[in-house]
Parts: sequence; structure tokens; C-alpha cells
Amino acid sequence: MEEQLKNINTLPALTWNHLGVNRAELIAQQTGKSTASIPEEFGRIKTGMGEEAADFAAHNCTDYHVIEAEAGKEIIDAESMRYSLADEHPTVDVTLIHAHEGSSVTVLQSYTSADNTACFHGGLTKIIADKGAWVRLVQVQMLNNRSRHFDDVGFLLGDGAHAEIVQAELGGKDAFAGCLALLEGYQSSFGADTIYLGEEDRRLDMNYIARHTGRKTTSDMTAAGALFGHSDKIYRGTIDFIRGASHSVGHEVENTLLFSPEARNRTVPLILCSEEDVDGQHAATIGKINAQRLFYLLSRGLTEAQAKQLVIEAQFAPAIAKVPDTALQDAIKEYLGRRMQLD
Amino acid sequence: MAEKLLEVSGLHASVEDKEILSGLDLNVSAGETHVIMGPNGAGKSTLGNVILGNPEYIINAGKILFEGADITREKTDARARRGIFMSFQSPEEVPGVTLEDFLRVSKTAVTGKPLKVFAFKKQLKKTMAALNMDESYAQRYLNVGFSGGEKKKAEILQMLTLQPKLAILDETDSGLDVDAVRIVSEGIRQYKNESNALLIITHNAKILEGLKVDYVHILTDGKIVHTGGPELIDEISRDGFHRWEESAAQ
Repeated sequence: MEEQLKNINTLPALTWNHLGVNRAELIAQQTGKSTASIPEEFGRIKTGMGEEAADFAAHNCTDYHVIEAEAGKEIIDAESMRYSLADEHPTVDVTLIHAHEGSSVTVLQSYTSADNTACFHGGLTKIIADKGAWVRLVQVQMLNNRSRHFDDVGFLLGDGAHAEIVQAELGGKDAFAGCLALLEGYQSSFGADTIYLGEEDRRLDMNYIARHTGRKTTSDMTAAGALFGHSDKIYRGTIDFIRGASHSVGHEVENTLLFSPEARNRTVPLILCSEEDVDGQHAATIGKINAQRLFYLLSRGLTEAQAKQLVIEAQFAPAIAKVPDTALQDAIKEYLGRRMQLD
Repeated sequence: MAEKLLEVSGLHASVEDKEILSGLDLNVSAGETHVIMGPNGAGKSTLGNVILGNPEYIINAGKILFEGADITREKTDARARRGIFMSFQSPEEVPGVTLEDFLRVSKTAVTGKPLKVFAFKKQLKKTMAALNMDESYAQRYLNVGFSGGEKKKAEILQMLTLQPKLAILDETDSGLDVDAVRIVSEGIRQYKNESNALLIITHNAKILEGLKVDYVHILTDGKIVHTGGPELIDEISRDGFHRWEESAAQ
């Protein structure tokens, strides 16, 4: 059974409807599985894709994970959430992470296709980072070109907590990702590193929100991507300074490489200020590989595909370096290499 | 007789509808060092770019042969794999790719063989030391934040690593201080042997000191108007290009 989700990745401040960036719609595949119980402390955490996606995930949960790092402890989980998906098994994973005071948590979630059939994946991850905690969530999606996928994430940060998300959206037919970080704690900080690859008729729809409510909070969101074929991508990046978030700083930057005249790129940077004493910046570069740079790379014997791969990998390198498994890092590079050869 | 490497005949090339090369002929054989000298705007850099197949330049007539094969319409990467190299006047910056990784990828690309990593690293270290380059540059992003001199040294490092059959040096001495010119010249001497060739594009004689130059070509208005021996270098340093510019104008 399919379920249509109509209010996905909603822009925090709506703009002209005809631009088509205010929200997205998503057809999700119900799993017929039981409802995941979300403890109250996680219930208040909002997510980037919005309530409809989060509720759908909670009501169709096939895989449920709870990670709780005790105060001062370190947890690295790079193994237990690796999914290899196939048609007959739509997967919806719900993961709740609580990093208590001074703890450190690194979690890897990866999604690949076991075969070439169309599959469905939905994910919901909610994270609480208490005072002084450090959390890194890494999500790598390399599904086949027939699959649908969404990953919905929400963070709640306490005093001095640092949290970051690394998302590699590299596959799928329809790929949706959203993340909302609520920087509630004094001097809390949030980072987002997103890389994406659009090819064929892939639709990529992303929504990132850093909501600053605490004083002296910091957010830094970076996105880098490459678009081929008829791919269609929207990246919404919002820095939302709420009254009281004085002396807070938010940066966002997106670099998109366009390799096809038919590819569609939409970038929506948004800075909302109801607090005056803040510093918000955004920047975006969109374009082809500089012709002289391409000539330089070709002059050293690289084929055009190799040169493109090198430039894309260079853009993706900072995010790939944060994947806590070198074999998966290599697999991502190999995956990109195969895709470049097809272009 | 030395093996012919490069044969350029009747070459006409333009950029943005403006003809830059107007019937240029040039032959370079293995073991030879050729110097192209000429005033600004004569077409010197265009020649290097056209030999390497820069798509910004359109070849309107003429032929380029390399080791007897017609490469006039061949793509740049194929020419590079045949063994043609150019040291760029303004090397591109490539953020995110370290110098060492770039050398490794390029070496694999031009040789078509998997690289022996240990031997490669050892040789790289040795070559960098010879060029008086700090080892840390190998881990820095290619040309990003390099000074003008460091960029030129990185180009020579690439030449020494890739060991091309024909190396075109496009104004490699420009922007270099005296010490850097000396080091770069030493690197060029290390590269040169009887089976490869050099085509040095310059309007400065300093980089040629200590090199055995076989031919000096004067390029003005898109043509080679005179070819002589190394004695021309001193003459040009002393008198400039007026003599040939005037005769070309007549």
C-alpha cells in the first residue's frame, strides 16, 4: 500500500508557489509493521522533513534502534545500521540517540540496493545531545536508480553540545532528505555536510534548518553536488535566528556542478532573523567545470570522465573523509567512478 | 638519424575568430632542445596550447604529427598519453586534490599501468628535494595558495614524474626569482636526455643558461620567421626582436 505525504520538506517561510520550492510531495510505501514507540523526550524534537514524514516513519517502523551514551562515554556504531534493500522488503528505520553530558557518539547509517528492483526506504533519526556532548551522524545512500528513499533527521542540542550530520545522497529515483537542528543550549554548535549526485531523471529534494534559540550558538551548513542527465534538485537551507539567540552565527554554502543543460537546479538559501544581534551568511556557486581547469587535467592524461570524477571527488572529499569506515569511503569513490564512466 | 617526434606543417589556428598562427612549420626530433622566442602577442603560448589540443583554439589548416601519427584532431588526453606535456604559464588551482594524489592519478593515466606506490613515493620525495620543495607540498591541494615560484616548481615536478617524450615549457621562468630559476633550470637538465625533447617558450634567456640549446626559432605574427642556433639568444637579449619584426612587416 502506498501513502501520499503532501507536506514534506516545507520551507520555514513560504515564497511564491510558482517557484515550486515551498514543499514537496512523496509517495511512501507502507510496511504493515507495528508502530515504534517514541519516548516523550524525543517526541518534542522536530525534524527537517516535517511531521508527516516523521509520523509515517514511526507508524511503519521495521527497524528500531536506541543508542544511549552514558555521561562521558564514547560510542561508535559503524556496523549495525547498514541496510541492503530489495523489492519485497520496504524498510523504515527509526533511530533514537541520546548522548548524555560529555559523551561522544558516532553513528553510520548506509543504504544500498541488493538488486536492481525498485525498493523503498524511509528513515527517521532523532538525536538529543546533552551538555557538552559530541555527536556525528553519517548517512550514505547509494540505492539503485529505481528506488525511493527519505531520511528525516532532528537534533536537539544542549549547552555546549556539538552535533553534525554528514549526508551522501548519491542514488535512488526519488531521494528526500531533511534535517532540523534546534540549537537550544548556550554555545551549542551544529554542522551539516551534504553531498549529492543527480543523474538520469533522479529527483533530489532537501531541506536543512538550523534553528538558533540559544545564545552564542553556531551553525555551519555546506552542500556540494553534481547534476547530470535530467536530474532535478532542490536544496533548501535555512538559518533561523529566534529572538534571544544573540551573538549567534550561521553560515551556509552550496557548490553545484552542472554537467547537463537538461538538469534542473534550484537552491533556496534563507536567513530568518527575529533577533538582531546575529551574523548570518550564505553563498552559492553553480556552474560547469571551468574549461581551463578541465584542459589542465586532460593535459596530464586524464580522460574527461576521470577529470570530472577528480573534480567531483575533490568537492566531496571533506564529507567522504568523515565516513567512519575506509572501505565504505572507497566504495563511495568507486560508485562515483562508475557513474562518471556512464556519462 | 634522430627519431622525429613533432612535425608541424602549415599550421593556421585562431581563437575567437582571430587568427593567431598563420602558417607555422616546426620539426622537433628526439634529443633536441628547441627554443621559441618572440615578442608578446606573437603566438608563442598559442603554439603550445594548439600542440596539446586546447579546445579553445581552432585549427583552420595544417597538420600536427607526433611520432608519425596525425594528432591534429586528437583530444588533449590522448596527446598527453602519447607523451606530450606542457608546463603551464598559469597553472590551474584544483582545490580538494592533493599534489601527490594528482601526480599518482596522472602517472597511472599516462602509463596505463598500475602504480607501485612505495617506489612512487620514494621517487617523489627525491624529486621534490632536488627541486628544493618542502615535502609538505605533496599533501597540499594542487597549486592552491602556492606562490608563483612554487606553482612553476610543481609543474617541473610533474614533468619529472610523468617523463614525457616532448615537454613544452610555456614561460616557465616568468615570475621566478634568481634562485628559483636556477632550481627550475636544474630540474629541466635532469629531465633532458637523448630520447626526449624540449620546446621552451620564453622571452627570457635566464632559464636557458646551462642548457644545451640546439635551435632557436623567432616567432612573430604567428609564423616562425627565422631559425638559428643558440647564438641568437645573446643577440635577442641585446637587441630585442626589432630586426625580425621589421622584416616580417615588409
